[in-house]
Amino acid sequence: MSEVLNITSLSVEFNINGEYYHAVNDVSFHINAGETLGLVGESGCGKSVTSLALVRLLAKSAKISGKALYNGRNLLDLSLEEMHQIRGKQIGMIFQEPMTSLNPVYKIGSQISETLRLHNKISNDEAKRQSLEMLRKVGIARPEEIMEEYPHQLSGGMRQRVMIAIAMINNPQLLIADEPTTALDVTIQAQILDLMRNLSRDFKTSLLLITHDLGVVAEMCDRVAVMYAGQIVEQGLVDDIFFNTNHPYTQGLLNAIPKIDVQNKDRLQPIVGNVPSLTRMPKGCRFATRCPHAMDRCKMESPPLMEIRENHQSRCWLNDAKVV
Amino acid sequence: MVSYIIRRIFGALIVLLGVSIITFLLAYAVPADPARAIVGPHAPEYLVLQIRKQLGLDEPLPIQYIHYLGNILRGNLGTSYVLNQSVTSLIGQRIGATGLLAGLAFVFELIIGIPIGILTALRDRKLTDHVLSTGALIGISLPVFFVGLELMYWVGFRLGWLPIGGTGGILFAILPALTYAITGAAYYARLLKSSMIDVLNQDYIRTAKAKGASPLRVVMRHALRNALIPALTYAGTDVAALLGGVVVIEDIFGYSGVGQLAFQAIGNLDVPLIMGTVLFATVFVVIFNLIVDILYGIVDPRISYS
Repeated sequence: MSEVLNITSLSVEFNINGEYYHAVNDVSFHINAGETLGLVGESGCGKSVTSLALVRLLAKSAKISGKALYNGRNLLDLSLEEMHQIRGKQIGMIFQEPMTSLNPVYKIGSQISETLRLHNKISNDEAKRQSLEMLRKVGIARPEEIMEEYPHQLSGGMRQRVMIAIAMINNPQLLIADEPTTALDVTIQAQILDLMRNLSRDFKTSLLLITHDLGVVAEMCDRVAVMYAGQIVEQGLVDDIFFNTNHPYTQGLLNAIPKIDVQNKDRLQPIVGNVPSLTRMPKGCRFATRCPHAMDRCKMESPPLMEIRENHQSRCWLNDAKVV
Repeated sequence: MVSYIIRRIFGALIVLLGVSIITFLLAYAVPADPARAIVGPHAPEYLVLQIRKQLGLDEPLPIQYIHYLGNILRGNLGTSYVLNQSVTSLIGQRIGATGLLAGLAFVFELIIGIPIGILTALRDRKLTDHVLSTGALIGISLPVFFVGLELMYWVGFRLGWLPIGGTGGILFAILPALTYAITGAAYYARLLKSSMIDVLNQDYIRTAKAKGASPLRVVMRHALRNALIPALTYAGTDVAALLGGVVVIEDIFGYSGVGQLAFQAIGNLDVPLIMGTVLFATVFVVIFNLIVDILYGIVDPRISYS
């Protein structure tokens, strides 16, 4: 299988009061053609920063290093002009905030056709016709009227459908969806996820799905990368992540999901403590202070990402102990 | 939309009524006698009394006001005590000159203010921003008469590019308009800078970038129209300030417009002319505010008039 995206040792540093701190630290992953990779983690773990870094949408003050190969070309080395041609054409993006992601002063139709016209030499009428067709594909009822309406006249779910139409209309090879359903209510969430799954299958688009919701992951993803405090702590096939869970943080996330089928009247088990702040990262394993299995070694040395079975890696000293 | 405009016009009539009462009272609150002002300090008392009777100044104030109002409704703004011409024709003669000056001043303000606002927002806290923002601060702080005299001296006298003063055609309006614009543009620049910085951090700007739009397109198409909305609000109040400024500027440049007329009328205690120019200014401000409110709905589709 060919790789659409290959991220190697991506690091992002932000300047806080004159000093640089890592928000993303040595992150590597790849996405194959037609595959869906879930990037999972709690708020502030660096998953959004990772996605914005690879399309170069972070503020100029952010220091980015590493490689982000898109079809063999390093996105981090491209000129701004080349980047404009890739964004919106080859890489589409959907964001978390459907309520504010559309420009309030332009009609829906013109906002969709803009993406087309920025990248293709086509007539006004043709752009309009294709936009209308795309609105139909994302399941908008009465698309002719919606074309002439403004964002504030649409509900959150409809706006997210419009965002999907904007992101998908140029038939991109890669779609980056950053928490696309977080701001929507549950029934709409399911519809939007269905839509994204069907579209990415029909268009043969690879999907980088950023989420904190393991339910979404289970439903959508082929492979999963779990991030904690700027690092990937566990990566593998979706089944391995759910059924052969290795890293204590992933286990913690799974324990924190409410289950309705188990006759268990116990309380949910939260992960105790908080994510360490950027400016005060522990020297050893970053999860050690919250980990129920933490050993002395964890507080001293940072564990590397270890291969524990084929296509399954975990950043935990417990695996090393088993080997020894 | 139509019903909105009708409601606004009705509201404007009430504003005009209020303004006319206040101006009328203020004109009479001055401890001076218009009749005495007309005949001069050495004229005999019987002449003053005669003039007072002739002008109806011997009647109680409310009656005078009602007479005045009745005349206005018949389209008659009265006759200037001093110039002995009808107020309507006095204003009518000068309305074109003042309109030209005010319009030009407004256009200059936008031409200077908007690019500086955009530029300082894009170069926020960089050298360009510091230089232009300091310039804008100086612009706000400079008094109109100072800017006017400097322009007269340098552009009019030393360079000889434009007439120093007087009236006639657009060339004569450029320096007075620029005088107002240099002090006024700074407000637009500062307002636009802050709203531009705010807009550039919005999610829809990130969407525009994600579509592959160039930085120029992101700023000019996606950000500017949103950022102009607060500046448009300011334009409504600016026009009132503009008319006030025009009074002083016309006097500085010897530009015979409505402002100069008002200035002279106040000096002469020429009550009908004071009333006429103030009401003219009020009508102007009311109309312009209505235009701004309608433009609002065109720029920002979220605003509805129902």
